[in-house]
Amino acid sequence: MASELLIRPLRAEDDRSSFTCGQGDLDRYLEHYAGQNQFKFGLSVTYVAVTAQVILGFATVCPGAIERVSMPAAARRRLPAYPLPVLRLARFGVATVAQGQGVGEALLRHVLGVALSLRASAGCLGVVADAKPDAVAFSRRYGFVPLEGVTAGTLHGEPTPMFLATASIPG
Amino acid sequence: MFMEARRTLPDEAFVPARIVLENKAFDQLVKSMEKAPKPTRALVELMRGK
Repeated sequence: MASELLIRPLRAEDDRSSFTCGQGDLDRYLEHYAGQNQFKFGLSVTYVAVTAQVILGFATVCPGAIERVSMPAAARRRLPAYPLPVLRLARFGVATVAQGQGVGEALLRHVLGVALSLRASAGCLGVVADAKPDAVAFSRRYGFVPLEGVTAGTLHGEPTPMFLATASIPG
Repeated sequence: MFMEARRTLPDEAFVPARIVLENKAFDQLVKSMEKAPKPTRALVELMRGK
């Protein structure tokens, strides 16, 4: 890549209208909803990979938790029914013009760094990546495994939630 | 604010914070974390910046 790639949080003034990653729902999310989620509601943060002020990729993360449907009475007496705090990698897209150039890897590295920082500062046991079908193999490469037995909390379009323990991430 | 977001945002834009697992799957996940898997080679290289 000729110009230096910078990864930073989305800014209100960033031009999101020309971004296209080949998946309409992700393009629409970045253009119309990533800003609302981040600036208006404070529910998530979108990191963008930019070069020369052009967005080449994005990753949206938010804190989340994995919970058990129910806790058996015997276990409830012994254990607090704590949910497992995680960082959720909910949206991830690389511009078609930048695919195969390491943008996705740079974004993932940044997100995993955020998870490690979160673990140190507030607690985070894992990263859940909501992987679209064509991203499952990419996620598996880095050790993500599909979460089994999900009964609630999947994203619209039902991507596969995949889990990576933060303890497995080299610090 | 959360409720406003839920009313305002379409389903495709909303990210649920909770993921609920069947009891058995949750217990298996907790067990797997007692000894976290070693990072894959690709993950090691990724975090080294390669």
